[in-house]
Amino acid sequence: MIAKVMAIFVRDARLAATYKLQFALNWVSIAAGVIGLAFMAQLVSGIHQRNMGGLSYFEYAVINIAFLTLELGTLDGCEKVVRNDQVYGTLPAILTTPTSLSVLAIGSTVWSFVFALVQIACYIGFGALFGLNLTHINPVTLAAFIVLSVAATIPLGVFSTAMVIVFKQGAPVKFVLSNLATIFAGVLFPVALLPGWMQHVSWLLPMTHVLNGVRGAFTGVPIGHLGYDAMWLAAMSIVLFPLALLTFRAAVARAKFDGSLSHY
Amino acid sequence: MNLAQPSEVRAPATSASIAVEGVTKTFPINHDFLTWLRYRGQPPRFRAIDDVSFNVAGGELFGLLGENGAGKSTILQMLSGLTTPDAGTIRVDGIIGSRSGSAARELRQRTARREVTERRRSFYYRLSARENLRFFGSLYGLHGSALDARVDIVARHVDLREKLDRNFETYSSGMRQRLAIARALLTDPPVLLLDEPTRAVDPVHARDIRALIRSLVVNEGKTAVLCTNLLEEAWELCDRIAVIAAGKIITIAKPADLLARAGGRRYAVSLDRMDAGLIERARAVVGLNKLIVEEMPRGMRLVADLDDGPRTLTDLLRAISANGVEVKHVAPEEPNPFNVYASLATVAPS
Repeated sequence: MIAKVMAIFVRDARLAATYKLQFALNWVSIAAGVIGLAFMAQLVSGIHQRNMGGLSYFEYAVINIAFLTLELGTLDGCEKVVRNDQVYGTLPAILTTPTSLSVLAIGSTVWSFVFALVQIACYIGFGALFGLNLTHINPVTLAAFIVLSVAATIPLGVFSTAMVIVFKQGAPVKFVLSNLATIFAGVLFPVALLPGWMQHVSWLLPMTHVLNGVRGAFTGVPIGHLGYDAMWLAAMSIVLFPLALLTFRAAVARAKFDGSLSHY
Repeated sequence: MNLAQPSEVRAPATSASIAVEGVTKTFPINHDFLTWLRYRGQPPRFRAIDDVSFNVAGGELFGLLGENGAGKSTILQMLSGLTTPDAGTIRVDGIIGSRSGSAARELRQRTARREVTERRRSFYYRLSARENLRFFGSLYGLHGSALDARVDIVARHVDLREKLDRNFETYSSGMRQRLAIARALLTDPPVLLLDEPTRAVDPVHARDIRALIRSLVVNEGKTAVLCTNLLEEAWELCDRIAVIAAGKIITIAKPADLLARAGGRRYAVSLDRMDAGLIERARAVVGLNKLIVEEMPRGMRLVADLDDGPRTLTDLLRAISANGVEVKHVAPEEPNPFNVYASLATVAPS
């Protein structure tokens, strides 16, 4: 299983490296984003910054955007890879190999995850140049929330992939979550500023709990103090993962029945 | 192409048999949203394969021959597990292909599909041929030096060893076909499903690919199902041929038996001209089974399939020349693969 996951990861890394310009633009985009945030933070620096857990607005926004990259990367990693395989015509060839769908789903997410980690490092590195304080980081909390983030998001990505297998284009899970995250997950402003009913929606999103956790990690909060968010993410992962795999299997079976596995 | 691989010659593998029983397959007429709404999520389906049954013995090279759209590739897709039948069963070496689970995985392990065609690519264009083969080999469970060695062997089989490090996008269509064969051989599978393996391949490499396929069956005991539009390929390679039309198997026979089964007599008749009622007069002749009319640079040519009646030819010639048309030449034609195939495949099944 690990060898197959690695093979899929190596393929995706090699393919990504062949698109040199896109590869380079990723880093430019991160640098531009951080610089933009630094100036925006100056604009709001005089305003009372509440509910940010002791972080400045710049720190709050950089950490959130960096880890939203991880969430979205994990969310659409599998779906993007499978969609590309549909277009390349390689999906049927892959599905004729004795590779289980769970290995395919996990393997197809690994490159996005690793790439997102490197992007996070860049965000944090650039952020440090503009005043992001790294001295209080609790590495255990940070590592735990990275793992929980991936565990809770992969099933959502697999749901999205199942949609792509059947409907080819359009990934409603990713569409809904990425758009909801901007408003409800507290990326650019604290969730506490939202009206009560919107905070309930926010509570349902895994992004909200992941960002809560990593912001806590950057201010040195131990994992025990963030148990609620951690438990929520763990529970979500345990419940959704088997459901997502069942949905993925049903989608592939449906495509085989309709003869549309090689369609795109 | 170097077929001689003394160090890799292996004892014939245990051959796998294939049994297809009463398989039917339908597909939705389209995937349009309005159609989907109109039929409440159950759009009408057309019948691509209709109650097809056949057996392929272990170590046999079985051909599927038919017009475009006859259903050959659908049968291969079902054999490979990429499409599930609506009804009927498919067994490869006794294992029934199911929609998922370990049986399907085992079936996939035993069956290597040849992904072909110009329309659909099935490799990563921006990776080298070696990287492509290594990737698919890994998914088949090969790794490390065993994978490298296997990639080397299969690349030699299809004469691509020196070009393995070139990107797939630089490959010609023939090289892509050969690489697809190399991928199918990666795991040394007992069953090969070959979908038009020499399509778009130059004549020399096509000959070599045919020799390779024959060698894999004869020397290594593989079972192969070959889907082709090329008559000479089917006649040259296959132990038995199934002629398919409109999703049904019309006949299954050895190539030699198909020729013998053609029966009757075929005559080519050259005429100086055609008159208005000639075809009607000819068709009225008792014992005429089929008449093909061809326009020639000087005059016309009729090809007539006749029964064995003693007067049929005489009656036909009399009918043709009744209005002053001059019969310039009459010659019997031996049954050949094209005649046999055309008479079988163009007849719509009942």
